[in-house]
This record gives sequence, structure tokens and C-alpha cells, in this order.
Amino acid sequence: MAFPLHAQDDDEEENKPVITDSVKQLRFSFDISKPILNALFKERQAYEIEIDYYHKKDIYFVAEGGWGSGKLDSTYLNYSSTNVFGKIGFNKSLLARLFPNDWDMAFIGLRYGLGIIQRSDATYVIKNDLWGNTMGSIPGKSMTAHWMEVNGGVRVELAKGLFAGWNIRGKFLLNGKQFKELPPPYIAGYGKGGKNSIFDFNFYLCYAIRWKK
Amino acid sequence: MTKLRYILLFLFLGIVIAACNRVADPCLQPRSVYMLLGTYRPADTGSNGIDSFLPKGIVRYIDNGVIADSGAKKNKFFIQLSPQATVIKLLVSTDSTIAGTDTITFEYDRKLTFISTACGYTYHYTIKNVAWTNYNIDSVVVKNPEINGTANIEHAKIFY
Repeated sequence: MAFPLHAQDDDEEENKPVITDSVKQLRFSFDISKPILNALFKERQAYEIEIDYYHKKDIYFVAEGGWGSGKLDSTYLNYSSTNVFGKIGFNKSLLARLFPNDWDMAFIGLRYGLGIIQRSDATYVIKNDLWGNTMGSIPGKSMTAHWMEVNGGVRVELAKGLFAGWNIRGKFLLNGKQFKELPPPYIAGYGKGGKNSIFDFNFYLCYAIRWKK
Repeated sequence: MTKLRYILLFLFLGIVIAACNRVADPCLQPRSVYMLLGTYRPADTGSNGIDSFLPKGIVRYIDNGVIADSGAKKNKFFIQLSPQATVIKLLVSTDSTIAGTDTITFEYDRKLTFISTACGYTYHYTIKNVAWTNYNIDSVVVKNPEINGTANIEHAKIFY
């Protein structure tokens, strides 16, 4: 029974089109969901861009960057933070290319992220009906966040060189201990500062340039 | 255009996901910590004592005259230390019909403690010293000096 099935698999392999990696692609992506979210939620602001480079064998090298800020203004606490971030990693396309100009992709990927954060002075109010309210301030400080990401997403070429697509990301903070007290309200590139793991979403509009080897 | 419709649907879903990650959460944790006092009669078992239910116990803050805790046949009393001082003085009476009210003075350190971004800060306390008068009270023993919101911890024992 095994021999005919094996022979059939071989036939399918032989019938698959062979796409040679004769073209290189560099793609610039801007996350258009962030300006929309910035307008909806004033307490968190972020801008994110991504550049990916097609290497070979459905592997894309990826670099990302951006900046943003967060603000917490509540009855008990008031402070803000700003940050810049960078990420490096790769995407692996899960769909075999059907023809040389087929650049549509569904992918999974991995990232390492680094955020440099400046937290402002924080003012606090301790409410107490019996003894009266107590107020004070905590000095601001600089912090660094490291995290890893597991990514999945799609890119679809709508017109020549023009793509749209999305990423869904699971993010895991590697140095969560330093954010136990007064975490940044929002870390652009990561998300809410006080969480050790987080889900996030990007929606990209992209433009790709291609050249032959 | 079908492709575009699908990915726009994901844009909408993404914004819904992001909306769940708001910066400000409601405060759902206790923001005040309490000191628990127990009343006892001396026993041969050392400092453990035997529960002593006060006929009509009243614990009152001397600084503002407010009753901290009271009740008939009661042996546990909660008080709140002041975050603006390091000493608190209490008037403790066992029964409103009996003359002779005692004073207990607790001296303590304060420690500013972060609860969460939703609740901000609170104070935790460490009892350093205790003094008392002897109209009715025999002695006061601090059993657990750390007052940090841990449940079911009795911090001091008052012996009659």
C-alpha cells in the first residue's frame, strides 16, 4: 500500500512550479491602525513602521521601529511616559509562491523588541475619609524594556508593489520586574506597561520595490 | 476587491482588540490597611491568653474623637493608623458603665507602597513601640508588627 502513495507524492512534487529567487524585494510598511487608535484613545499614542527584505526560500528579514507616549490621569495617580522602540526578526511565508510575481503571503515570524522609555514624575493621592488625603510625588526615571514576539499575518498585493495586510502578535516582556512599580502607562511597540504578556494588532499599508539579482 | 474587504474586516477587528487594552482600569483592590487588636485574659499558656469578650468595648481615636470600633461582647477591634503621623493614641473602654478608660499608644513607621496603576499608592506600617495605662489593662503585646493588608492577622493582643 505504501508504494503507490509514495509514488503519487512524488508526482505532486514534480508538478509543483519551481520559483527561482531571481528577484529581490524591499517593502516599506506603515501601520495605519495606530493613527486611528491615537484619535480614539488620547491617553495612548503610537506610530509604527516596518521594513522587510525578501532573502530567499520564503524568508523575510524584518526591522521595525516607532515612537509613542502614554498618559495615566486617574483619581489616584497622574503621570506619563514617552518611548522609542526597535525590533528585529524574520517572517517565514507559509504559502508557496505560485508564479514569480506572486508576492501574496501568509506568514509566521519572530521578533526581539527593545524600548527606551522615559517616565515622568508621578503625583499620587491617597484618599482617606478618616485621616484626610495624602499627596506626594515620585521622581521620573529612564527605563529599558526587552520583549519577544510571536507574529502571524498576511500581506496581499492589491496593485503592483502596493500591499495591505495585518499582523497579530503575542508579546512577552523579558524584564517585567523593573515595571512592577509605576510601569509606563503605554509602551509604543509593546502595549500596556504593567503586563508581562500581551496581544496586539497591526494593519499595514505597504509599498515594495523590486530588483533583479 | 474581495481581498480588500477581508483585510478591512481585520482592521475593524484589530481596533476592537486594541480597545480592550485601555490604559486606565478600575481600582478593584483594597486601598486601606487595618490593624487588628484582640482582647484576652492572661493564661498559663504564655502570651497566647484566653479570648476575653468585652461587655461593651469601645476603641476611640484620641486625636479626632472618632470611634474606631465598638460592640457588645466583642473581642476583635479594627483600627486605622494615620498616614500623616507616626504615633496613634487610642482610648479603650471595656464597658460604658465602668469608670476607668485606658489609653494605648502605638508608635510606628510608614512605608509608601505601590498597589497598582488603577489604585495608586497606600501606606503600610510597622509597629515600633507600644505604651498603655493600667486602669483595666494588664499589658499589650505586639504579635505581628507588620500591617500590610494581609487578611486574618491579629497585630496586637490586649490583656485584661
